[in-house]
Parts: sequence; C-alpha cells; structure tokens
Amino acid sequence: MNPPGGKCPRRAGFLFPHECDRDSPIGCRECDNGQVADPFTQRTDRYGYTGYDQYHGLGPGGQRNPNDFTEADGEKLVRSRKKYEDDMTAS
Amino acid sequence: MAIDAKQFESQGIYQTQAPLRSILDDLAQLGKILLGIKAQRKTLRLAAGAALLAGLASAIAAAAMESGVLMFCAAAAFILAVTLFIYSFIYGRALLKHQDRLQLMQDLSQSLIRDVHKSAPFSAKLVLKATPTLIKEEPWAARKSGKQQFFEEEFASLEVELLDGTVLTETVEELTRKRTYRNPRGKYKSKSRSRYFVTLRLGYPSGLYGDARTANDTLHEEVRVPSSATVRELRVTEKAIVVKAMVVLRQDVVQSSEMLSLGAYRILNLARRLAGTPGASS
Repeated sequence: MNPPGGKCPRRAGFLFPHECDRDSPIGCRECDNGQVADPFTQRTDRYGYTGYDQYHGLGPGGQRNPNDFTEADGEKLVRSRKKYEDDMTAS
Repeated sequence: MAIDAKQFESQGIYQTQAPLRSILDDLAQLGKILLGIKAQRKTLRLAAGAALLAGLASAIAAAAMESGVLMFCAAAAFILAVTLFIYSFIYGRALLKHQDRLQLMQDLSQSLIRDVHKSAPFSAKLVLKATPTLIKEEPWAARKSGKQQFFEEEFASLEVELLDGTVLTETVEELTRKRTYRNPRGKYKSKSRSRYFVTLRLGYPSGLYGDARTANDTLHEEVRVPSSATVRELRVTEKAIVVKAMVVLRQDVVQSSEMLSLGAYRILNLARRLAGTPGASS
C-alpha cells in the first residue's frame, strides 16, 4: 500500500520512468495491484525490447567499459580472406 | 467538445487542441457519425427498394387499367429508385473509404496515455477525406501506354508535451503510387499501392537530458521496428531527436510509431544517466 496521504512510490511509465500519479495501487494495471515492485522496468509490452532500462556494456553512469568489445571491434579483428574466385592473377 | 457533424461531413477534417480524454471522446463521437452515415446509406438503399416495388406495382396497375397517370407514376418511381440506389453509394463515400484512419488516430493517442499528464493539451489533426498531392508523374516503360504517379498525403498529426517536458510531434503520411496502363485488349487499367511514412520529432529539455548526441554515439544501437517497416532516418541534435520510418502494412503503423518512440527514448534515457539528472516527475 502507499504511505497514508502519499503518492505511489513506484516508477511508472512506458517510454521513461516517472512518478505514478495514482493514490492507491488497487485497480492499477501498471503494478498489478501493487504486485510489481518496479512497473517501469518490468513492463512486458515493449515489443522486442527486453531489459529496456539496461545498457549492456555500459557502466552505471552510462560510460562504456573500454575493455568490452563491440560489434564494430569484432569486425576489425576479422581479416577478410581472399577467395580463389576474387584473385584475378590466379590461372 | 461537441463536434459539428455537418462541417465534418463536408470537410472530412478533425482538428483540435485539447486534453487527451477530450480528444478520445471526440474520436468516439466521430466514430458514431460514421456509423450514422452507414445507417443512412442503408436507409437510402431500402428506400430505393421500396420505390422499385412501388414502381412495379404502378406499372402492373397501369397495364391492367390502361391508366396514363399510373404509368407516369411507375416511371417516376423507377427513376427515383435508381437515383436513390446510386446516391447511397456516393453519400459519405469519401469519409467511409478512410474510416480506418480514425482507429489509427485513436490508437496513436491511446499509446501516449502512459507518459502524459491527464490535462496536457494535445494538438491533433485527422484527415478522413483524402486530399493527396501529386509529387511526381513519369512514364512507366514496363507496360504499353504506362504511366505512374506518386502522391503524398499527411493525414494524421499529433503534438503533445510529455511528463518529462519533451515535446513529441508525430505525423503519418500516406504515400501512394498509382500505375495506369493499357492491357492487350485495349482496356485502361490502374493499380495503386500505398506505404506509410511515420515521422517522430522529440524536442527534449536539455536541462534534464543534456546533449543526447553523446548518448547516441555511446549507445550505437539500431532503432527496432516491425518486419514490415524500415527506419529511414535517425537524427540526433542538441535539441531534438528525429526518427522516420517507412511502413508497408497499415496495421503496423501504430506499432512502428511506438517502437520508434521506444528507440528514441533508449537514447534519451541513457542521456539522462550521462547527464546525472533524476527521472521525470509528474
């Protein structure tokens, strides 16, 4: 339950987290009658987005860990192999 | 807000600035007007049927009694039946042809309800009577006497300030390609294909999000859209994020719009973390 006379302390929202404007969790579909602790993070209606509020490979402040590889780094590590058909000098 | 049904039926445009609840009520009212038009078309067809039966009865009676007056009545009833039958197809056709746009507008408005204040004013515009603009016309070499025309029409737009102070502007355009050609039997044929262009502009408050360009550079993430849609542009500036997508299927427009918003807010939510500011409040 919410604190008496207070607003719901849970984070609501679809696009970004914001305060819930409800006075009571009863009948609230966002937190399922107070069953969901963090409705913003635990939403399941964001299509393909799972862990919408998580940024893998980024620190708490959003900075990227310099030791992490990205997809772009992975591409740089692969040396393209010349195929026989591409080698015009071959007989 | 009360809607002027006569004006809406003649112009086919709904435009207002009001809170979301009021707009949803208006859209429901427009739905009722469209249902009224459908009912009236049905009534016209029933009246045409009644006139046809009256004409037949008059014609039989005129033949039996050899009455010129009854023959005149029969002819008048037949003409009335044909006129009413044809008019039943013309009446309200332009509005009913694009009635799916009303549902689209309702869904687009409804999808924002989770992140706007109850009394936040929405600017909304919905065009049900098609007024496409010809943007290009060229010969179509694949067919004999082939010609193709390209039209565009912005039929839905929304603008609202979200709870975090971001001003969201959304537009949906219908792009139509109409191809006309002559078939081997000499008949002229035309085929039309439509695509939908969804544009979202999020003018974000720099006090809360800082400069979102840094977050975009750090994130390096593609904006996700349904399989029938393609992201055409993602532009992040120090003031706004603009994201555009081309959608093939009409039924995917709302989902595409929501996914574009989610993609843009992946950047903004990270920008807020980088800026070190707390979340938005209601």
